[in-house]
Amino acid sequence: MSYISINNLKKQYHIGSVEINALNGINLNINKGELVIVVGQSGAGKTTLLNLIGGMDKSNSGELIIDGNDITKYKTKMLTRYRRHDIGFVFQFYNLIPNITTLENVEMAKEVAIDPFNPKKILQLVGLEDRLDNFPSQLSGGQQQRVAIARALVKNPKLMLCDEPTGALDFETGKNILKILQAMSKQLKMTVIIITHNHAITEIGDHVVEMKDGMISKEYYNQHPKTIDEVEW
Amino acid sequence: MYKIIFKLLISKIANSKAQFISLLLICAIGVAMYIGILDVSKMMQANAQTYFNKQKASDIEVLTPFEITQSKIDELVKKDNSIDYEKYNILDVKATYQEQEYIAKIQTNEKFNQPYLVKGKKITKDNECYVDTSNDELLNKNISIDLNGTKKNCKVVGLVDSPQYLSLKYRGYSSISSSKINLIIFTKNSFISDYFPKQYWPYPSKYNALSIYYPNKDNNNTFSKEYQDFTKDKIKQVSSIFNEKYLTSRDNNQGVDAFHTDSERIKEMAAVFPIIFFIVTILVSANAMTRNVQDDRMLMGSITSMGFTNKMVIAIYLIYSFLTTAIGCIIGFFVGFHLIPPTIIKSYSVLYLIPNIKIYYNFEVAIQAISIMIFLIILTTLVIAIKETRDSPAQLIRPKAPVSGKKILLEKFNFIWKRLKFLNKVNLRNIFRYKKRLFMSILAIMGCSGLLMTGLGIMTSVKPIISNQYTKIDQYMGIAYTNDMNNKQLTTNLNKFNKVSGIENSEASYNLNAQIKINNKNEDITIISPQNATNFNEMITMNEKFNDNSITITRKVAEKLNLKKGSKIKITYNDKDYQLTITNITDNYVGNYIYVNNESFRDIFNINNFNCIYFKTVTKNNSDVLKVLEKQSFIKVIDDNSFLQDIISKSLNSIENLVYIMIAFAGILVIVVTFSLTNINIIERTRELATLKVLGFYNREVSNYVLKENIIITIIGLIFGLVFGTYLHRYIMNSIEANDIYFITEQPIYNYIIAFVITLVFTIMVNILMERSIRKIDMVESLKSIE
Ligand SMILES: Nc1ncnc2c1ncn2[C@@H]1O[C@H](COP(=O)(O)OP(=O)(O)OP(=O)(O)O)[C@@H](O)[C@H]1O
Ligand SMILES: [Mg+2]
Repeated sequence: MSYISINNLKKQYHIGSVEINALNGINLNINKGELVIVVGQSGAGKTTLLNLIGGMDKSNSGELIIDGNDITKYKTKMLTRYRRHDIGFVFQFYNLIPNITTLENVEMAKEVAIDPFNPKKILQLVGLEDRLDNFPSQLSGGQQQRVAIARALVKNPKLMLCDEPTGALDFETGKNILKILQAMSKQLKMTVIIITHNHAITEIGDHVVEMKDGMISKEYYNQHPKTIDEVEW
Repeated sequence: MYKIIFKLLISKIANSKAQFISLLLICAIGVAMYIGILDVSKMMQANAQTYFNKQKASDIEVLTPFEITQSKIDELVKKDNSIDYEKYNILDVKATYQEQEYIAKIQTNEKFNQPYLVKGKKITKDNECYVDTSNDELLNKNISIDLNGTKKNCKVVGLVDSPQYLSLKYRGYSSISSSKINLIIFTKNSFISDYFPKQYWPYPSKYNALSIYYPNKDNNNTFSKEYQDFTKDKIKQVSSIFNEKYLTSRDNNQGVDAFHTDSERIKEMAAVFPIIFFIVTILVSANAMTRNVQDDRMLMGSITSMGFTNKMVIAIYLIYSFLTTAIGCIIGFFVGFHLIPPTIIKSYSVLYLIPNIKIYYNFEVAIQAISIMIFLIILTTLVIAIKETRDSPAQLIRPKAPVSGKKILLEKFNFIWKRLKFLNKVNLRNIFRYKKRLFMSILAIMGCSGLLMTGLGIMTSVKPIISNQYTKIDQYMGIAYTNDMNNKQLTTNLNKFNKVSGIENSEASYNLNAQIKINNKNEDITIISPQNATNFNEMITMNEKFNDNSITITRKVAEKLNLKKGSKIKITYNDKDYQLTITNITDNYVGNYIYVNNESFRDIFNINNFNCIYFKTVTKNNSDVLKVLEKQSFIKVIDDNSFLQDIISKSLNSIENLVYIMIAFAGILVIVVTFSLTNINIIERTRELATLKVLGFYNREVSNYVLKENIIITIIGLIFGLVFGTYLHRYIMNSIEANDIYFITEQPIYNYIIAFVITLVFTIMVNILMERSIRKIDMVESLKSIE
């Protein structure tokens, strides 16, 4: 059985009397250790889907089975516990806590983890061992995003969810970030889902999901995913 | 365009309901407090003045033991032909109703100092009368009035208050029985003149009292300086016709004077409260408005980029803050006038008999409070809005760059910092991140807890006075005053005295009233010289036992004049100055005394007599003893200590009521302030808190994270507040012009604990309330990337 199994998942938003079907019946299976790339136009429902998988939001109907448990049935507390133990999140705008240092931001996440990695080692992994005592405002965008990744990773999550992690970064930096994420998924056997607008990136994924109007329009597996350095865009 | 501004305004208010309301409440409390406290004394005085006007209170009363002849009145009119006057009679009599004997005054004035009918009906017949309201058991009863054995019945048809007897404390002594007057009877003059036999003076058409009224004066307000100066002048004028000792001006009437002092005292005690309230209000509102404006930067940016001018944006904020302030002020206005003064005045009504307490809107005070409040808040808003709109629209649309992290001072002390738990470190950094907010919060909490501390302090200063004075210090039941007695007379009289059953112990003394100067003002002091020093210790407990060498002074005087053992004190008696060397200082709470051993007393004042007897009774209930003593011919007057105790405890109770109000308001302020500060803190950090939620922090953990910071800030503010409150309380107690009451200015530990716990509990309560808004933070919404 797949690690993630999504059946007929729906999510509506209401603006006044207008109903928007952000997710209009999603069916999707994701295996453990897969690097999943989600692409699609703006408004396709990518973020909505990711937020639901990450337990940050609630669906209207359908099933969302993670590791055998349907998280749509979870109450707030269970959802929090699920996020706490299973999920690592990376946002487009890093959302670091401005008042604490690089190391402390990572330690913050470690506080709630069961089996965390060593924060310093993780920061070394993302190449920030020299910037442990810097505050977010003293770091570049790419560096901040690496802190955010380290923060997500330190919890040793089963599932990494990245919403346009390179969206605010330039080409080189973006590449660096993706390289780290790809390496993580391979080395740590972590399931990683990355949302992107960039079609070229799909080549690095084991599993590619294309979305349109709240549905999955296309889905395929790359038998031989490329490494980031092989991808040109 | 006005429509847009209006719409923006409405949505602003709707989006920040909690802030709007807390700002409004803070304004209301500030204004109410200012109005209430500063107006109490004025409202008390205004009520008294209305009462005086209505009952036509005279300006000067001439009360003599002999006839006031027409020729004297003619003389008076010659000096000032504008005066209005009334001649009447006032006599000391005894009255009885079913065995119960009353020491009474009967008086016949009708035109001035009219009795105010509280209950019953008007006098229509000659043999009807009114009595004062403290004797309500006599209403509709027939009392028998007795002047030197001649009796006549009179029916009590009404209960009245009289401006001449504002306070029950000062009805004076009777000339025929040497005890305190306990009944005032008002009748028509014909009742007296028809009835009393001619050999008893006064008889028809002769009078011993005169009310004088000056219709053409500029200021009729009894409590104003002008009026007091005016009566002083007039007393001088009238005293060339009547001996000055028979004259009392309205403001010098003992009851009125005591009322005046009491009403002013409230103001002295509480005047700092509204000021601190104002400061706190301004701090909090400035905080809230800064938050408000910063929160709306994007909105402002888009309005300005749509072509609106900065002026309009600023106008929106000004209208917003004007609205909250104005509504708050209106609420504060009514609460201020309707809640605070009436409560306090009511508590004083056990002491001062003023019928019909009415609420007067004192617009002068109200306008002061409201205009200061509006001015300050509008100014704060204006400054902040101008500062914030100075950025260009493009800058405005982006959120303000977060304050970059900084190391805090504590981190330099590595050995401490290293030991802190990780989350505590983060908390500490956060606390010191926003210096301005920290400062304002600390100041606000400091203000509230300082007020709380002061309120509690006043309570503990006032409360123990009665028990300390009348149980710990004064052991005697009363003092019987006599004419001067030489040793031989004293022996006979003491013999008689001690034979009265119920007397346990007695001690003769010479008491004389002298003056000392405190801050250039004359203050009364009683010099007490007991015959037997050792026995006197049975009457009054002193810190160090009184002996044949002691000259002991009470603590209040010692502190006011900075006297130590061995210091000299100058005393004025009968216009002569005397020097005394202090040997001891003793605790005393009511009154100023010097106890002088009899030998020194004889040397210094050259007085070899005795004029009073301190006595103790076997049982506490001494009314039977007093009755017997009153009949002793050598006794002039008896000072009953339990009566004094009663009056003073009533006066202190009234102060307590005021303090309860202050404590309640300080408590409310704590709640509103912490609510506002916490609310701002949460709104400001929604993104951070949402991030924590995403990381998997439970709601409890997230709120603890914020709560801890608030508690630390509260505790810092509290510590300052406790210190501040200690000094504020000391300052207030010292500034109260009660030169004859000694207040303990040290605060007991439990006051600190109470103030600490109350503030902290309120903070925690508010924070628990705020947990809801933390729970409601929507991760997805809060973290949505900024488009
Ligand atoms: N809070 C919301 N209220 C109403 N509608 C919403 C809300 N959030 C998302 N939507 C709508 O749901 C749909 C899906 O939005 P979603 O954010 O998932 O798109 P997306 O694929 O992530 O787009 P993008 O690539 O621009 O980030 C959109 O039509 C969007 O307008
Ligand atoms: Mg998106």
